[in-house]
Amino acid sequence: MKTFELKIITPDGMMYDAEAESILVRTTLGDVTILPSHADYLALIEYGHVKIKSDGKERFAAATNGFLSVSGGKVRVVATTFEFADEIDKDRAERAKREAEERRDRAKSDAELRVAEMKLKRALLRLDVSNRM
Amino acid sequence: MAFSMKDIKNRIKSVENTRQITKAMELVAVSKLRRARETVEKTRPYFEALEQTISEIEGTLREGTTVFSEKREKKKACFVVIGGDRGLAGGYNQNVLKMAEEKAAEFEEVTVMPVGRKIEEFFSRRGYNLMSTKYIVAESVNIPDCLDIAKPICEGFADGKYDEVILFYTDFTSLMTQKAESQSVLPFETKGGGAKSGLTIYEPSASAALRSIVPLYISGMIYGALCESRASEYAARQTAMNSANKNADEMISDLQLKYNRVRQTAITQEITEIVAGAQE
Repeated sequence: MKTFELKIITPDGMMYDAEAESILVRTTLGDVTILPSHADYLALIEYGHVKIKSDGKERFAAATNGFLSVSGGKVRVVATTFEFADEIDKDRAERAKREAEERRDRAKSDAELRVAEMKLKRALLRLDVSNRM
Repeated sequence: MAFSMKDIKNRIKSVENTRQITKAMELVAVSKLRRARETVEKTRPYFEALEQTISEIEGTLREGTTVFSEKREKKKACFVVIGGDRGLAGGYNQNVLKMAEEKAAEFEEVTVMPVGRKIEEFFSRRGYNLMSTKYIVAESVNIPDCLDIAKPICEGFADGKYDEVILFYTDFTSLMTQKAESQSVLPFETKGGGAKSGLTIYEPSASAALRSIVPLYISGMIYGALCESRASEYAARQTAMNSANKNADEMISDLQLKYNRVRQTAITQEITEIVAGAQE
């Protein structure tokens, strides 16, 4: 099976640096799957799931705030946070979800509401991904 | 000699106690410095990837098509000033504060985004307009926080609220030298080198991509500066505490000498008195 070079880069370091068969990313415009020999491409990621296929195995992950780029057949995902499903601490995500919900209900200004909603979306995404592994 | 033996003994004790604290602070700074430097190394690939992507996008866009590279008359500025939460680190906080204050004189209106408790104290005492005080504990600021800082700054620049955004931090050159630095963040200066053909597919569009990647880039810049500053703070504290230890050692040995002398004088006097008494 044909593969491509995939790098996943976050501020905490390189999270993935190996060959992959395909990668599915939820971009701001919807799900996109990249296969080998894809044209040069760039799409934004706000928060969404990622599915990486390599050696016939699939791995789920959650990514926030970044982008996906294909350049000369090399694929890069640059994200502020990136966590594989098996690395996600479910209890922490659950707690974060409850906290975010409380904050949303108590929010007094639009800015507070936005922050709370962002936190909630992130928590929900992490829970969703960790349930799918 | 004006001191009694007891006084000197007490002083030695108190200097020893202080020395213990400064010694502990030095050790903490050493281990934190190692961690901070590791963080700097880890962040580098992320930052490089962002930089490269931005110059690629800029290459496909024609000049002057983005708000972020617009040059305006410099009237209103936004300063992001990064410092420490605590003192006892030599000139670490003072140097960066002095630099920011000098620069502030060039603008009509300055909004400050303080990172670090000492920085916040300084600017609020001087009546500066503060953007937010949510991130004043420099020790706990992380990447998502940097993004939260960068977003309103980018929006403010795009809306014309700020004409220039400048970052003040301390550059870690080596264990012995740390230098306060300032870096202009916006308007955006491209280094060029975006030698990409216009064949890349952007979704939704190149300018939309740039609009959301620029805040990421700036948050990366802030985070990078923060890591550098932290490393500098620990290095500065290590040096400061090291010299404090040396001073304490010197003081202890001086006091010890004095103590011995006083003790010897007392003994000599006593013997003289006894001998004098026996002769009578």
